[in-house]
Amino acid sequence: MKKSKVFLRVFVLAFAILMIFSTLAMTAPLKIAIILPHAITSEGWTKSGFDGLMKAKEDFDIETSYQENVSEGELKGALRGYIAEGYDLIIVHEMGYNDPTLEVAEESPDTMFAITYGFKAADNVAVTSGTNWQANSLAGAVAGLMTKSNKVGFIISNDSPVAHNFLNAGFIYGAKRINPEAEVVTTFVGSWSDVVKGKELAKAMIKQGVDVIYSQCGVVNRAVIEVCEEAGIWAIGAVEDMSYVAPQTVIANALAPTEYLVYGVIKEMVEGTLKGGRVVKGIKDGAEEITFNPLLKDKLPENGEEKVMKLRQEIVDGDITLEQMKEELKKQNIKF
Amino acid sequence: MDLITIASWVSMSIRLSIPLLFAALGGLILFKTGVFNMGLEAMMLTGAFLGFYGVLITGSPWVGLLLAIIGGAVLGLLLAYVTVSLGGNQLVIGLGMNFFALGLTGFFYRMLCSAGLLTDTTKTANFSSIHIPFFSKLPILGEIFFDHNFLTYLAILLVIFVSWFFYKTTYGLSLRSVGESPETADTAGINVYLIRYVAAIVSGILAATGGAFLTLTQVTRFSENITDGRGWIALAVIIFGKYTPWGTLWASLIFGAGFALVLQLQVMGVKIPIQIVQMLPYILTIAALIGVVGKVRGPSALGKHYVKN
Amino acid sequence: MFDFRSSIINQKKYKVFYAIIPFLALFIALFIGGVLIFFAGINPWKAYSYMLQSIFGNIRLFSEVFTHFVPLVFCALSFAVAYKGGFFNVGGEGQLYFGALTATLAGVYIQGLPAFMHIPLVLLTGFIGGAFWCWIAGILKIKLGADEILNTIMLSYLAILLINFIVMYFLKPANSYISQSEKIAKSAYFPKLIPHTQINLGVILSLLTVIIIYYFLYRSPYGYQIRAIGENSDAANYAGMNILKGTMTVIIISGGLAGLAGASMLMGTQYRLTPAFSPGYGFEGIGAAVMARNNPWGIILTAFLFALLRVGAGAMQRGVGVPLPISWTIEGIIMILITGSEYLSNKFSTNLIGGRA
Repeated sequence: MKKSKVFLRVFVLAFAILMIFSTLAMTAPLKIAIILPHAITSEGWTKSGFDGLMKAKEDFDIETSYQENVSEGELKGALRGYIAEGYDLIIVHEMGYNDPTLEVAEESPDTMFAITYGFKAADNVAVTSGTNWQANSLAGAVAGLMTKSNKVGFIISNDSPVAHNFLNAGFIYGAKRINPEAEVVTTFVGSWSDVVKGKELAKAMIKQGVDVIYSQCGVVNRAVIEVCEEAGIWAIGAVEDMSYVAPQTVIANALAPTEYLVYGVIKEMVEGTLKGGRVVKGIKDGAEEITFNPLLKDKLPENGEEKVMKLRQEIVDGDITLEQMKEELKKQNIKF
Repeated sequence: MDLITIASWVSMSIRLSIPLLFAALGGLILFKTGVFNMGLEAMMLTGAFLGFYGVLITGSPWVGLLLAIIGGAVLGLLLAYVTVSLGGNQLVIGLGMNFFALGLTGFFYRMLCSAGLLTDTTKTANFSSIHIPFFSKLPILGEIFFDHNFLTYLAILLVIFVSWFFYKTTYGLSLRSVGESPETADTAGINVYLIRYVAAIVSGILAATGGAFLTLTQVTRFSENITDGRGWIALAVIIFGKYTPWGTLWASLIFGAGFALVLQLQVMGVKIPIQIVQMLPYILTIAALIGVVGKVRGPSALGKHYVKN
Repeated sequence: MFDFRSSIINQKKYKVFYAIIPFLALFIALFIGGVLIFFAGINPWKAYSYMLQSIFGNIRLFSEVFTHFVPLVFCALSFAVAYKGGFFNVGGEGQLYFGALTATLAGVYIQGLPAFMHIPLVLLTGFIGGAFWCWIAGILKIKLGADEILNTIMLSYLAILLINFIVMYFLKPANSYISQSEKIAKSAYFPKLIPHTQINLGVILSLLTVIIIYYFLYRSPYGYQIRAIGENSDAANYAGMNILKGTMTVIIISGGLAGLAGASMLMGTQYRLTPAFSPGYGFEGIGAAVMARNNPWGIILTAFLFALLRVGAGAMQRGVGVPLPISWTIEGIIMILITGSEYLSNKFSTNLIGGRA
């Protein structure tokens, strides 16, 4: 064969191979990872983040990975691990990890990061947050509505500034708004998973006369609902619809599906619209909600549902804000 | 503080003290023979997991309890083999067992979840309370004393039994002499190794039962690291109880009451930072260690390896 | 069946076997780990080779190993030094936290110093913090006879809770909602030896410390005294050594080393104090020390191994889905096997090995 012809064939072949590979690379699925602070077997927060990833995996063509039980000390290592393995989007499912994530994100401007419920963002860090108070205040409203003893209970996981200023403030306001006589007993379990303690707290509360309990504490929630069922009092579910645990006990659910947040972030990444910056999603954006258990609607007092929905509408319209709620509580000398 | 609150607090104290009591009693039996049991946490956690696993698979808490007992016995046997026969360091074997148990239970628990055997709605059965007829209906007292599950009553009976065994039987005397001076015991014809082996196995069984108490009576599901340091607190209980069975009972109740008080105060609206409250058991233990309860003397040969000549 | 030690203890060939034991233990532990991985429905070969490939094939991931290596070395040395002196310091985790606390105070609230002054200062405060916390345990034992195993552990849990409390109520900036301290001044950061990796000054410091500890324990008269006290305090006393002084020395050094672990984490990677600061380096360090039989040089190897296991377990979970607890299981098995093989030591001593009452 003439030399030039050989050359031409080799060239065409090489070009074809190159085309194939670059197309494969371009159509290579996005690699998306999520870093979780606890085990995926601990229900609630961690699991819902994981569920969000899994649901996105079903709907989109992506490669996924997760790392669980990542403590603060291990966070940076986990992030850098994923960066080193060439992941495109790394979701950090814990607001307390905001700052370290930003620091690592600086090192890798081509990687996209997302933090759920964080506060500070950057060009390549998208923060998607729930409000932490909207659904909780509606839960408080339902509690104030249903209580006959005028004592309601709120079980939170960890004592933190956010717990006081967002969760507790919202809940107490909601309860007092519907029922000014209501007294709120707030307790802290000290972890997301100490079920034994959570149960004992619920039992002790009931002995003190509490007749509605709202638990926002991961795995503990289910156990608390069981205690309420045994004692014959009302419970309000948190994060997801927990009516299935005790259908005659769970009167309402304060939904704040973090899997929705996670799914949304991944969706935007896939569609190429994910940007750095902080976005707060509340009831208005469909990220939080209060739902009543259809089986128990007849147990609600007269106009009860309307009262709660009225507060809900005010929140959606912006007629009442968290700052105003805290102001109101301070005016009445109520501590949160 | 009204009677209802006090009753609530006391019954909570009892509930929280039982796992400690089982583990501490188990630890005490081995301590009396002169061997440290630093793996109480591992045995409790294993018992908690196996108890849960048994009831998950068969629906019967009795099977769970049986599995827990077997698991505890195995760990006790391992402890005996390494420390008594091989002369290994009693502290390090305990630490190693703790790592091992934490890893193994976490691993298998996650496998259960991913294998679909555990779903969001899985609830396992518990030992139900035995309502002693008539007495359990008494106000206040009924709730405190007469409405517990069988494991609770078993624990109390065990204290009585162990106390009788230690101080009123020749076997008990042999056991205690091994802990005080193995050489003398050996010369008197007592089989030091055998006693230590048996004590270790019993120790494992009791500690595992303490762990199973958590998953078979208090909650309806295992969670990783559910014991969360109770094994170490059990050691504190043994010392606080001055190395006697009845002392162990009172010490467990005091610790249980401390935990319960912490929860009770929160419910009553007393605002104490939760970390302070969590520190209480450890501070109590240190108080015990520095002799707040008076001089605590353990068996003279505690921790020393014995080699038969 | 019960006791076959004495029959082999005097046979020389077991000296060789004795040296190989840590490697053997590792192999057995990995094998058992492989069996567990198989039960999880994953191919163990695939899992382990993925782990090796990702760590050794990727410089960034490999450098992650050093973030664990540095604190592990310090914690392992902490346990080893105390052990040699006859003191069981199981509270390294708490001493790490306390050292991290004092180091944070020096790092955050002292501004305007040049790095070559600030770094040693922060390190020093870290050492002092850890030493102080261990000293408390020491005092409890010496003055009040409290067993050190229990009181170091109790103090350890106490320290973690205390730091948690202090961070949330005192160190947190007023307008922040996240429970963490301020960042330390840039002048207190460990400089990176290789840019864009985690290989920083801490690595050099930890290796230097190994050398210092080795010379101190094995090549200096103080070290000789300490080891003598550790092996047989009665004989040492008879020979005129000051037991109290010797024990206090190891207690301070041991606690200080753990405090350095906390300080090096602060200055090398974390830059701020947080409630869940350490993922258990204190306890893992004990495992590394045990596997190295408390030999400073051996600790370099075992700490590196444990660090590899941590990073590897993370990689295995990310890539192949092996649950993370597998690494604890492997470490636990290693510790159990090492403990069980102590009888093969020709320095078998009834006083020390069985523990203390």
